Amino acid sequence: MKGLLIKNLMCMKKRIYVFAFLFVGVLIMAIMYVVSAKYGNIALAYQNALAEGGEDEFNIQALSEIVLLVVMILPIAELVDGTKLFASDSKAGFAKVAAGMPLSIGKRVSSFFATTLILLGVGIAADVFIAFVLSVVLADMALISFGDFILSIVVIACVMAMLNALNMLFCIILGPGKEQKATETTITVITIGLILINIKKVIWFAKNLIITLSKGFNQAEGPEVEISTVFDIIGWIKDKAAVLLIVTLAISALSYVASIFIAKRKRGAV
Amino acid sequence: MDEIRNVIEVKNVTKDYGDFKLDNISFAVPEGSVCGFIGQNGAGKTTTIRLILDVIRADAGEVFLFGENIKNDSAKLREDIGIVYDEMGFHEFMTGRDINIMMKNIYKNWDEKAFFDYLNKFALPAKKKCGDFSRGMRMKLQIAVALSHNAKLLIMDEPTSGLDPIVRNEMIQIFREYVVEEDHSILLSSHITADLEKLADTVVFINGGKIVLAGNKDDMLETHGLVKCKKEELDSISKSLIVNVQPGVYGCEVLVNDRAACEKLYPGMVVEPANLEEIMLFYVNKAAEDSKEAR
Repeated sequence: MKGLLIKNLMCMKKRIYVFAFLFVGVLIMAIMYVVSAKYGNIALAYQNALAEGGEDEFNIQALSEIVLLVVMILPIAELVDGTKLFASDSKAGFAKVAAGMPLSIGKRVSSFFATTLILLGVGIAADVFIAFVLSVVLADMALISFGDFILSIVVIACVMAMLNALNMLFCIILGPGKEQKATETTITVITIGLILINIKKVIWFAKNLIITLSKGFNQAEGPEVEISTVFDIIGWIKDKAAVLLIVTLAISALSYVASIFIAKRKRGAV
Repeated sequence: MDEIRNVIEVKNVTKDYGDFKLDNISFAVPEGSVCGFIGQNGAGKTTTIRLILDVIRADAGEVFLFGENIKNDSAKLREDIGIVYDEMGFHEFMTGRDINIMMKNIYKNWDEKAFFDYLNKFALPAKKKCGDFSRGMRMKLQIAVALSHNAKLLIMDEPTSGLDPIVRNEMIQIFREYVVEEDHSILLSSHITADLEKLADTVVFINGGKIVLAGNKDDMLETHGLVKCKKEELDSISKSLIVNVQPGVYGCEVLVNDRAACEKLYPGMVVEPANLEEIMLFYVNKAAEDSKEAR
């Protein structure tokens, strides 16, 4: 299996280079944001907002968290994408070469999961490093703590791991050359799953959205509803980080077992 | 005296895809021999190879590799098999060096020195991406990989198709050198019968998912004969000798399955030796006619 891991990492070589650039870019951008939040325009806007009573401390903190969360997703998202491995193998017709190797189907499937797990680990390590640097810079500001960063990283890693596990399962179900469809199927399944789990919140959100739209965005209360909703969702996800972690582990394990089972039945898929 | 061991044994194997069926096929490849697996495109050669490698599972029947049923541990058995396909299958960004790193972590018996020696012998640059290789170079790269882990058996699916005669000849020479070792065997699937005539000891001829003919190549060439005669003379030839009749320039051509008997029975007729391609063509046409009649 080690040989296939090496091959998979070779397939991800370009993405690893892009990741390295992104890592540096994200670190610079995040530091710039934090410096601005400390001394620059963001700090000024924060002070003005507090003086005018238009924004509370929570929203500024949450906004900063969202901005940093989004930039920190980038390195992991670039690395953790198993569909790229399948696409690379499909393009080369590597499945038939692998089928002639002294490796069981289980090992061949495991190599895909193991590769993305390694890359997820690298992505998490990179994000933890960024979080550490930022928390040192932010030490004297009560904006975001290292613990908050770690919580955010756990959430990002869980979401990416879940997406990836399902992506790989669908790649095996749909067969070689259908990687794009596998991604679309994963997004559809997750969207439907999230809607079903949060049906009450979705109805509440939809109602608010309709009210906002009917009143028009120009009115003061219009966008207010939307922003507080986004904060609600992020807050809710972070509150349930432990649940998310358990769900991620369960989905990843199920996806792994199902992938091996399906690959053994289908044969020739990997 | 030691009993001859079969490196491949396919026993009553059936695989039904609905639109195509591999129908109860059986054949064996003895150790130390080169078996030519011939048949037209879509005859079932690749399906059979996929079954032998346990890529797909048979609906019925059994496959044995080196005397062991592949259902037991096909992955372990593949350690001793080198495989060459009609297409390369390695990622185009990979160089010979990359392939070496990958393979030495996959095959227990990977021989790094042998691999680089083969790359040198085949004039394949180790640092060049294999995506930039010509078709001939890609095939040679596959052969280098197949020969670098001390494989006892080479299974090749149309390795010479699409290659120019010079490269094809070079490859046949490589295969000849490989089978000099007594315990080395080859299953060579091809529809280019000329290559098999040069190399094969035994021939298995598959058509429409059924084994039409199997046996020693020399015996096959020896027994079959081509009679060129007028249409009026055709009725005089015993039906049991005729494989099939095809219209010729001056009358008709008849493939007979017992050349010696035909020469003895009909001394006035000219019975010429038939080559593998002619034998294949006559059997394929016979099968087509038979299935037409059956409908």
